[in-house]
Amino acid sequence: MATYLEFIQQNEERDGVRFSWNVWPSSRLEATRMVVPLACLLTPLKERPDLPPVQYEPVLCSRPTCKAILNPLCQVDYRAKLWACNFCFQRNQFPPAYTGISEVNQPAELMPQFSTIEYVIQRGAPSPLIFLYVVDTCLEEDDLQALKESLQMSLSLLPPDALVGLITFGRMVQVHELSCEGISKSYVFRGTKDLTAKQIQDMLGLTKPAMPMQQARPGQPQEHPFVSSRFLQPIHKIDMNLTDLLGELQRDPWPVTQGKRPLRSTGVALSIAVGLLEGTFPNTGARIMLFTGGPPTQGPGMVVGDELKVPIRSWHDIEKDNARFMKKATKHYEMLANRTATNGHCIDIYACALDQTGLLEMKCCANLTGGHMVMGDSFNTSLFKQTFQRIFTKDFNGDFRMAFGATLEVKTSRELKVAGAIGPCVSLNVKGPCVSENELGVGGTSQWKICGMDPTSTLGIYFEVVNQHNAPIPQGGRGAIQFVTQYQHSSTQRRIRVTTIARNWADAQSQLRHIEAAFDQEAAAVLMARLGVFRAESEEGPDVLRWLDRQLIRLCQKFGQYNKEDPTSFRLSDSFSLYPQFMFHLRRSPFLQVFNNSPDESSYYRHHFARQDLTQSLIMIQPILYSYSFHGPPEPVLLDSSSILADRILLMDTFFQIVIYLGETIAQWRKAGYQDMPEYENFKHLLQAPLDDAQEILQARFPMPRYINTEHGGSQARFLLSKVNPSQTHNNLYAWGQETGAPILTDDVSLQVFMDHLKKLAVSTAC
Amino acid sequence: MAELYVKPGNKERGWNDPPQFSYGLQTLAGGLKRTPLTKRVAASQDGSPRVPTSQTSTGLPPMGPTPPVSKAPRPPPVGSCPASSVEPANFSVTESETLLEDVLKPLEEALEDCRGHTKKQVCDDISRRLALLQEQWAGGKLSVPVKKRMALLVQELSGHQWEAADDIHRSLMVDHVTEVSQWMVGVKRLIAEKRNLSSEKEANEEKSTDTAEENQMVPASTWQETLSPAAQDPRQPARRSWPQLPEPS
Repeated sequence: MATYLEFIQQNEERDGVRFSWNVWPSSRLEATRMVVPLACLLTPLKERPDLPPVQYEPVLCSRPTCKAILNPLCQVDYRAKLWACNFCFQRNQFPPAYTGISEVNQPAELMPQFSTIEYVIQRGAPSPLIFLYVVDTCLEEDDLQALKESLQMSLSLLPPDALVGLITFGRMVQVHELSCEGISKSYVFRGTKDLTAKQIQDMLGLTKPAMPMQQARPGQPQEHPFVSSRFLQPIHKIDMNLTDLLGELQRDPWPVTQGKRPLRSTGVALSIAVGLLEGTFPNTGARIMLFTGGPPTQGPGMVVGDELKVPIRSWHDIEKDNARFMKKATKHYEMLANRTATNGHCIDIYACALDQTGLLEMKCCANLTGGHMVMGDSFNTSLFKQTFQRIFTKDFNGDFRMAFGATLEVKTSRELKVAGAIGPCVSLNVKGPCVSENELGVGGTSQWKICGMDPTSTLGIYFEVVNQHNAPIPQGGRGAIQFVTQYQHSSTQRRIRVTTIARNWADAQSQLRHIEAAFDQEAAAVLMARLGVFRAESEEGPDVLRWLDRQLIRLCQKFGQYNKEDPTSFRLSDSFSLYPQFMFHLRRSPFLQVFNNSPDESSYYRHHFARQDLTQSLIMIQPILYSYSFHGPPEPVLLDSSSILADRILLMDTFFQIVIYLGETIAQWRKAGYQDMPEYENFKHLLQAPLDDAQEILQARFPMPRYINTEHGGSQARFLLSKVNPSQTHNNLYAWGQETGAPILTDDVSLQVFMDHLKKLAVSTAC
Repeated sequence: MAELYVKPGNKERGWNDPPQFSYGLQTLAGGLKRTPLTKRVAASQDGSPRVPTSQTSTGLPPMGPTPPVSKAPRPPPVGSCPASSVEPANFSVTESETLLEDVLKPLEEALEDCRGHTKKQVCDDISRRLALLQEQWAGGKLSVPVKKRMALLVQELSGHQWEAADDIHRSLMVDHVTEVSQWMVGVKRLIAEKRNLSSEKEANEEKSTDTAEENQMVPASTWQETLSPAAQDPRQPARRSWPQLPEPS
């Protein structure tokens, strides 16, 4: 059944969908016995250069509780001009514009190759994109200068009719009025007192309705119904003044005494930003971009006090319930995040500091709204500068790769229900016939809102088979799911992307082999991992690991071939062979292991894991390792200590880091300078090859990864050593006989030991 | 002619800071994709790693075995521009230095053109920034690449190539923000104003020509054009310009 890999790949390329199971078990009971839930990874705005959008509106099913969109799975009577909805079986009349269609002249949305199709909605005036900069001024001089320059640079990258605003904060919060003439003004708020949305809007003078254009000029057509406020002005008008304003920004003037942290009112600053946008431009694409160089230390949302001798909370503190400010601060930011999501705006966090900045408490702002989270050491680093530049990259059409205000709706055929979604979204609480009572992830709804999106944003969507055991589906029957994503494109057009897919049902009793062969172990690993990480946010760490292990054992018991009580007989078919490995590495990953990471770092890693597409998510779970040598072209090798050899160069990609590691002999040769001698030119090429490959990755990835160039014995080699499977440790060094690879000094369990235990438990009748 | 270079990151402020790519390299990035490094090797079923065959003996420093010589060298990887760690000295020493007047004069002329149409304050602002540019240039505060690219920008501006000029301004802002940020926004505005000015001129000229031509302007071939709803009915059978996607097997 080699063609299933092709099938899976083709479907991913066309529809941006990867299912854990591609042949579906036909009853609820059998589906739960599959262990891995029926679920998919959906990339709603997957880049499709070969799919230009159509310029008309979609045709909807007329049943009010259905409203599915016309798709290739629908039965069509071309003579009577009727179509049957494949979800609710309602017969619908085609609208008048479709009178000319026939079997040989089909509209695009009925053709099978258009299972994914994008519509452009013409009605409504286009609204501009809005960027509100919220800038921390409690930074060191160099840092502030670098940040100012990055912001000035961004004004050149933004489209000229985008609206831009500026709020700066330190001990006080200043909202800058942007005007073209004369003295620049700002409204100053105390950083200690939180204000309600209404208070903020009153104090900024936003409650008076702006004079509508029609009154002023009765005859003129309404070209720009969007009145810009004094605080948010179009770039083409304000760029020069704003450049000067940014250039003149000073460090927060309040002196910081020895042993103290600067007073930073991030909570109030963000609150004012959210209130400002709420009062001026609700329900239109906007980004609040928060730039912060340290933790919030005063006012609502403070994460640590201003005494340096009291450190910011660590995981140890949190476990011992010793994090004073955490609950209250988290609550404050969650409230802001929910309000922002309701308004259709998103919040980005750019946190650059050597110590933690409170990402743990503020993460909901980025996670619930689909905003970015960037973590760096300083604004004066290439990591921040380039990551920030990449936000404004353009696609093949010259449009920004960002989308705003998206809503995703999922419709299913009646044998399925939606259990929930995991990703950068909030629930819209839309109940309906498709909604399952069992929740996995953000459930209880068939619609979610994703306020900030890009072409790689991926959601994990979990389903439940509800067909009863004694109501079998006729042979050849298929289940169907439709994903409808409405969003504001970066060109300000409103668009709808519709993906409709179908898969065969199968009876698990008689056709288990078919179901097995259609298992997508990569998708399943990522979907289970997302579930695990979702649970880890609310449950204790060890509980999640136990749950993960139990699921793996059950899966092996169900799908492994073995003789009872005989671990050596255990075998897994090809479609499952990588799965235990993924689970092994997942258990060691920073997503489930908080040891060695601060709470902020864990939040950062989990943030990116919950939104990347399948390929990148897999890289995060099990990093890629390529080996470069004189023996042939670069090849992928096992992520194992045995791959670390003296005469190889290794390139490891963990998504967050790119590590180049020179084996011992290679390092010696480099030190001896062989690459400079003409007769050893091949050595020079060998040294260059991984650098070139690394460069390709570095050039494209968002966020920009760290770059580690190290060698055998180097201190930075620890990044590689901590990731590889420690098949050889100081404990079993002499058991291998011949020395292969580098022993890792660890007590961690190796993959071999893990697999041994797994097999023992799977074949045991006691479980 | 964008500059393509890679600078090392800021090792002092950020640990393992990645290298910095120039604007030219970053905008190129989309096109050059060799085989992505995404393959994995499955561990054997019992979890033990396969011992790879290693031919070289363990080397003893420093007199140990040297790297193999006279093997057919592996061809250097094809593709993106070489990662030079130093800004390439593309600008040969013999090339004449970019003159300040060559850059400033066209800019000032462009400003004069705009004076009639643009608000006085904006023009004054632009003028102020051009003065700043002059001051910095004359004071030797601008590097050679900046001067060179400014000359190019001015060329494109004079040739009415607005997009190209804009792109050069962006590349300067991204690669050399410290040097140019104070006055570049003035140049940017100047490009925008000249662009508006010339498109207004074109619009005025068109109005005076036969208006009937306007209706025929829009080509009927591509259905991506935004036509008026009446004229555009993509569902007409004749309109078969949807891309032919490969059939799923």
